[in-house]
Amino acid sequence: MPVSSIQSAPVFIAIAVIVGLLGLNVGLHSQLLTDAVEQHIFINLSLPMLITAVLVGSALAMSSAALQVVLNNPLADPGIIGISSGASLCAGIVIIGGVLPASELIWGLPLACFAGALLSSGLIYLLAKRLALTHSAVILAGIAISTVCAAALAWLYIFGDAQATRNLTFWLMGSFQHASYPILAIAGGILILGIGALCLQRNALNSLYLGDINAQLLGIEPQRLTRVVLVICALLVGVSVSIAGSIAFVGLLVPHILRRIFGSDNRLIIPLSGLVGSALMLVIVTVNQLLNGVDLPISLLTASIGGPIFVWVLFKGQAR
Amino acid sequence: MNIHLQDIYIAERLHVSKLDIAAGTLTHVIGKNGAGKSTLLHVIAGLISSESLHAEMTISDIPPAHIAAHRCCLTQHNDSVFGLTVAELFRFYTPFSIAPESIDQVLQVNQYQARLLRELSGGQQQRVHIARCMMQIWEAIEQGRGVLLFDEPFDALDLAYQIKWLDCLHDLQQLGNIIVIAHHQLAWLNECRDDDVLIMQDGQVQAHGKITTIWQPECLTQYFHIPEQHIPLYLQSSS
Repeated sequence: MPVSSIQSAPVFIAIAVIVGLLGLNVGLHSQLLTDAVEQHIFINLSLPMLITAVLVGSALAMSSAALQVVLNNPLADPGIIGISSGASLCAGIVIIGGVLPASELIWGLPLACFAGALLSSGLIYLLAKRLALTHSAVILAGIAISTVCAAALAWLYIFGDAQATRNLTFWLMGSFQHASYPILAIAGGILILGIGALCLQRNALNSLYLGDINAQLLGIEPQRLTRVVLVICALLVGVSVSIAGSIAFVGLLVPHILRRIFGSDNRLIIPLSGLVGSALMLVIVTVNQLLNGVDLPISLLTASIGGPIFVWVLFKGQAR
Repeated sequence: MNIHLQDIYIAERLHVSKLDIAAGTLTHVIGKNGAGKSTLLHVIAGLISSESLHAEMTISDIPPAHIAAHRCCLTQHNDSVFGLTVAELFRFYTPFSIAPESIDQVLQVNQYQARLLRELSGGQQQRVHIARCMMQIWEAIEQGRGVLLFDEPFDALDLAYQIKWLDCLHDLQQLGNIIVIAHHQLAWLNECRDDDVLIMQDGQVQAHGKITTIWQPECLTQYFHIPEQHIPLYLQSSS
């Protein structure tokens, strides 16, 4: 299949925007070259935050783009199919339950969230398998598991004290404030591997648009492909929620809007979703930096920025 | 090149002890709803793994690893919830981004290139899917080494296209390709007397051979359980 038929312009534009936003963030530290304190702040606080934003934005948008195809549902996103609900519940147990001393939180919270994400995706997988692993089975199982997790979380809210529930609310809406190098060293590695692995599947994903049988006729094993993509996405989303909390809408919005504008070719949509996801997260980091001191939750900003854009695209875009 | 099936057994769906389909033949697979026509096509297409079949399905001269380049199969359901354009569909499922001249002459699909598949009429969509299937293995078809399987391709196709497309298939058959069509347009059996017919009932092959030797109006009573007085006029003459 001719690769030249893919438009490469949007990829370059997205890369340019990312570089521009990174440059802008560097520029915000005006005395970077001369002031030692400024250098320390940039290297130890801003830089890990920027790296986290780039990786998490990319991971979330890309895994949604892939999930939408394998689950044959243009509205699928990690939240809807419940991968992140287990992570949220574990965060609730750690933050409200106070099971860990405050000094352990920096490692304990991400680890607990990751365990929660794996556990809920494992449960979803087992449940869906009993329902024959059809597309709707995964979504149904996801809704079931997230309902259970949401209920448990709601009970925690009722019993938690005011400060703890407020902390949890902020965590649940996503934040890059907790970014640090030791955590990035592990989480970042997994994210980069997962993003790479998902990129490798972009060609095969194109054969799933007309259903499993037509993919099989092309010599693809649709069940295997679906399993591989689900596992990669569970890892990517699990790690992302663990280090940045649960971030809403990015996953749904980015690939959905890109498909409306650029068509359905996953060879373009998968990598481009990653890039645009990164760019969007950088915009949010930048907005937070510019607001100086007020750290707004990510989901609040993604919804505020993404929501109106989504409405506009639905109005303007051709009916795809 | 020929297709050979031996001891195929799928509980309550298909039971074929032996079936051979030779190169350069066009076979009409007919039978009542649920007779096993689609399942038979799926078995020939290799969609049902041979381990679960405990049986043999081979297309001689074509190694299983290359089957996707030699065998195409139009299935009954080809919808997508995503908004795919016709050009995208061709790009994703065939080595071409537009239909080769000789396919486009028959099915006239390239005019829809930029259109969304789901905005086309049922018949237009069917033409696009037929073209897509043939394009998947077009190189093999031109060499006379293709296996073309179609499940109810005439659905929604107007008569003019049915005629043109069947003509095209008869030309491709002359090249040595194997063509198998499961359908309910029994009138075609009276038109294409030189083709083969394969009659199925309850998952079993009841008759298989030249239409001239096998097909008669009595078959409608025997295999379709249509009372003699209800056989429509256009199916009554067999000469």
